[in-house]
Amino acid sequence: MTALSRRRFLQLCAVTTSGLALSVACGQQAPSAPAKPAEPAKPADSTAAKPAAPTALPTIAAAVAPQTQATAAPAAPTAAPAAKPAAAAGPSGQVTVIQQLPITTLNANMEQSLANLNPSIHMADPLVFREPNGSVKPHLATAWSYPDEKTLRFKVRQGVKFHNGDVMTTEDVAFTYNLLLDPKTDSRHTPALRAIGEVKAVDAETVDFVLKEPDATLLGRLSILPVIPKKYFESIGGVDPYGQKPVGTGPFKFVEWVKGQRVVMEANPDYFLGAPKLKTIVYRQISEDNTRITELLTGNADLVNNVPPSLAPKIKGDAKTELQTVRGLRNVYLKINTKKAPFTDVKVRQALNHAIDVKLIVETVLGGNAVPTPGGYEGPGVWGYYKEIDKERYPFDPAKAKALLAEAGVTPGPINILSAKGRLLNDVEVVQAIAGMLQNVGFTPQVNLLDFTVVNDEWNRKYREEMDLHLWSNANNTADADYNYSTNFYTKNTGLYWGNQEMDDMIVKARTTLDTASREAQYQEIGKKLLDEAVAVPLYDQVDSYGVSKRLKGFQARADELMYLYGASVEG
Amino acid sequence: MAAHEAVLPAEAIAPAPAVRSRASAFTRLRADRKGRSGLLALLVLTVVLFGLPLVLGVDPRFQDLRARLAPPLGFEGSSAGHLLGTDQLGRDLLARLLVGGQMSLTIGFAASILAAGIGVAAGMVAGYAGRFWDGLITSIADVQLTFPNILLGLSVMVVLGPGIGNLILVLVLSSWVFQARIIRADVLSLRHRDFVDAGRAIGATDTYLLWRYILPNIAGSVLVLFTLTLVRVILAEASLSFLGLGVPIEIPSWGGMLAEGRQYLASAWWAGTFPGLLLMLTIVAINLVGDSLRDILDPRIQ
Repeated sequence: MTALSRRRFLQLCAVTTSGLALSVACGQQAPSAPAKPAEPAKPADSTAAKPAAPTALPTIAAAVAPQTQATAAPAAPTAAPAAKPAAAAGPSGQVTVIQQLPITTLNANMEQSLANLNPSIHMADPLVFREPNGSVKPHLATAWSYPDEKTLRFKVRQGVKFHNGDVMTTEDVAFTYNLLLDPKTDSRHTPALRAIGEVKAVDAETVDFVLKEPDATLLGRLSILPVIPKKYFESIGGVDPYGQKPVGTGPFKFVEWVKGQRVVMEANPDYFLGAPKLKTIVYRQISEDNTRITELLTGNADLVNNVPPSLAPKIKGDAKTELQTVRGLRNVYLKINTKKAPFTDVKVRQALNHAIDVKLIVETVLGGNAVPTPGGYEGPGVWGYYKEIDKERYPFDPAKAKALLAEAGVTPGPINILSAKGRLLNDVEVVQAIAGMLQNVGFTPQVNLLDFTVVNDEWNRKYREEMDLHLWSNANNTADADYNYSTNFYTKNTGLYWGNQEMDDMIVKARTTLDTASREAQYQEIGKKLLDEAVAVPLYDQVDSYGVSKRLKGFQARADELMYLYGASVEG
Repeated sequence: MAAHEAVLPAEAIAPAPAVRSRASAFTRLRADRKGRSGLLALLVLTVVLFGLPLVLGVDPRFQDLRARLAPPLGFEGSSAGHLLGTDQLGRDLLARLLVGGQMSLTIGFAASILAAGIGVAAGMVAGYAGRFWDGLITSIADVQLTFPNILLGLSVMVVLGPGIGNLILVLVLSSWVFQARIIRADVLSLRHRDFVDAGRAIGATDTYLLWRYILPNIAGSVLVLFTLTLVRVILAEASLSFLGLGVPIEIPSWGGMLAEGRQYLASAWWAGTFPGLLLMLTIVAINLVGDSLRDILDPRIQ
């Protein structure tokens, strides 16, 4: 209750002002502080660094300055020589990656989302690694062979250490994949590994995958499933704690995960392929496009994914950033609920195919950032894709669509379209454009938009079953046709509405055929049949756009949406 | 009959301010500069929103993808027939703005009238009946006030799904409380005033007292509260539509158009600017009327 005296008030003001001034001064010093060896190379900063930092740096700079000036160099590079040796000696610099989707676990073996795989694959290695061109090369395994049709044998690399110092053994490898086979683990990858009976550590160098049936796709699938340390996993208490605080063999070590804010990892100097050039990687998530791209443009991020066409010019127009585009493996299509009348009739499904002008959508709404795939559900980047993918089996023809509907005796009525929002490139607009086109052939479409996580959630299955159409996409994580077919067109899986025993048999037969030529021929049959039946409306392959800061070197956008930074470095 | 006979003496006792006629309030509203401009703006807005679409005859849902994001007439690259340009799907922006405005005003008025009805009734019962009813209604109101409104709206819309009926329900749910609480306080201060006691003494029933003695005396509050609620409700509708949980996406709404246009603000300013401007204009107009009404109806200010 005591009143603030005038003198006390002035004292407080003085203290606050000086405090503020001090903190501002410190804030300015921070970028040029000697603790960060990567920074001094930035030419703009180095000149400013001299007067701004009254600590240790100026003395070094001053000592170096006369020499460099004597050799007729301008003032700019003075700070650089002082820091260069440190940069050359080991990993340096920090890269901030901002993803569109959230990280839900750091154990890539549990979830299929690339937002999880991206950080995870830097901390833990799979047995084999997939190159950007799709070929599989040895990684934690040095070689593999098929002693018989039902055994896949790996030679495991020796002397590789986990981040906690434990040596990776064949026991760890066997443990990792047996864990995934256990239905109790409840991994999203488990259904895809159904061919594996068990995994055995034969000796200190050899691991055998004993198969129930031959599976030609197994190597590709294993390329996204990292090996985890058995001892650490058990000591920390299983799947959930491990997913929060992973330990692996990867080029980067886990540092911290502040939920909803960032995941931080740091270079592992003992990495078996050699220490990475980067010191720190920070992952953040911003789903809002404008905000994510603004972070890149203001220098708060070095790499962002899923740049929408409307914002691409901003990145191209900025001197400090560049846009990398690549035709992705993600194929977008419109699922048709074939369990509901009138879509049980193939003529109605064909009518839907004729009603939608994919080319126009790609040109306008997507600004050319997609490639129409009128003949199939995966592009040429996927092994085993349907070769007639560019042929227009059901060209855009509203009159024909109406005629087919009349032929089937169907009066177009209300039609419910489901789509996630903010999942695919401009998805909200794409689905509305589709609705507009269906309206033109007589339907009364209703668009239902949900968050991706909600759409995908299991409790929403009933809701999905009430829908007529569903804008869907498949990112082919293994670049093998089987991935899409057995996820989305196989009745025992959760994917597409359409399916039957005949198609199931065809998919299984193709997967269990080890002869490459015969397998490829089978996928042509499958592709043709899916098109004959018009099980969905094929739309397009997305062209993925990444915004990259020019200080980040050695990053190459990949078709499979993986952002791999082991070989990357930062300059300036 | 008994009630009818009671009217004369009661009105004789009732204080003069209670029976201010509606016509006089309206006349004075027109005489007030703020009130006049607000009323005029609202009138013009209503006529334009509901009349112009009939004249134009443009389908707000018709898409012309090739003419997407065409600027308003007079700007370079504009498309013929689209006065205010087109949105990201090549739909006529003007037609959508008008239909969106109809939606905003209709939903706003419907929800505000319902909320006022419920709020005033509940407030009068709570203030007049006291004890049990007061406790019950006040507790419900208190509990509901602890929820942030937008959170309440979001959760209800997520459960019920987007739809105009559901939207009105949500808006009413989050608005009646404020009315009820203020009306309750007004009624509390009135219920033991001499003229009410007098009415009671000559045998007027509770219903009659509430209707003929109390209600006319709180009419000013009700009217001013209504304008405040209207503003709140229109903004809340826009917010929910902005978040994609209001009006279904097929139906244009200012909030939804703002959300869609925001993405193109850098390259196509018109898509987001016009709905924002109209929303602002509407809110300012209603606020002007409300402000002016308060000045006129509050006896303390005169």
